[in-house]
Amino acid sequence: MVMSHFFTMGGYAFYVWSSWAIGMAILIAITWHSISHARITRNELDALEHPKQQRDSDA
Amino acid sequence: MMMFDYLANPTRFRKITTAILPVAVLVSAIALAFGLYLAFLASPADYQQGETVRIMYIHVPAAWMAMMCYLLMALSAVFYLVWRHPLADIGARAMALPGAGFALITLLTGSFWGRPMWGTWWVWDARLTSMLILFFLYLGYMALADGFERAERGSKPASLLLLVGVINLPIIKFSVDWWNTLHQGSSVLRLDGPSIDPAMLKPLLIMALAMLGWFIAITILRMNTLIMRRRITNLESRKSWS
Repeated sequence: MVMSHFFTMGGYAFYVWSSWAIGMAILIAITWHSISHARITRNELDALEHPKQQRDSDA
Repeated sequence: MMMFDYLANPTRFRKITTAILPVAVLVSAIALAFGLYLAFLASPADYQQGETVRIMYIHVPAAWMAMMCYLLMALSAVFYLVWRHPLADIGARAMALPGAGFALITLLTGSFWGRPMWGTWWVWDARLTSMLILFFLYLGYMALADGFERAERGSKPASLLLLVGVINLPIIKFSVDWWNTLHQGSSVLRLDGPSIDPAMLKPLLIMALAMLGWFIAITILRMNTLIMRRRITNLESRKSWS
């Protein structure tokens, strides 16, 4: 496929690239949400299980 | 069933899933790279639909995943309702968001495909409507499961909703055969074998593999988060009693 044809998608660039952009954005958003939740929860649990160490590391 | 009992031990579950997670991520990344290459560079334009056929390589695998994910959640619901396995409930909860994501991707990319090919973003026909219902089932499940002060109280009604909603899956699958629709019929999962060209089937399957790897990794991550969350709830309630 020629480079310019790749970007224009035979005149359907808007539809093809929007679809892929939306799809990827949704997958990335869910990934980010899941990772950040895992981090927050891990920290919360660590603070509960090892309250002393947490205080030491805070100081 | 045996496997489920074996996995139901949280420590063992943690151990096994920590081993699977990096493999799933790796498979997903490699499949995505290869799948994108096939979808955009190594596959031909369709003789009728031109380059818009490249939307198929995200639209169709996402639809497969949305349906498979729902089926897995419904199976988990059975395990939870019959054997009261908390891990089955946690599994279903973990899968809900990625499942809803797949359903949403299917609907939106379908719209962006329908506009140039059918001349409309949306039509209330059987295939599109049943897919929209699947998306709403995911949202309803999440609202029910998380709608209570104590998370476990939502598990039973949410699991029942999953079971009722299973009826929607065959409706999605066979809607293109049972009703007149703008949506094209099946070209992969057919009784007489795939009618789709191999050059188009390959990127479809590879993209499906990429999404499957992603789905497994995300589900493991979210399940472990939910297990930690339950531990926190237990520790806090113990604290407030002492």
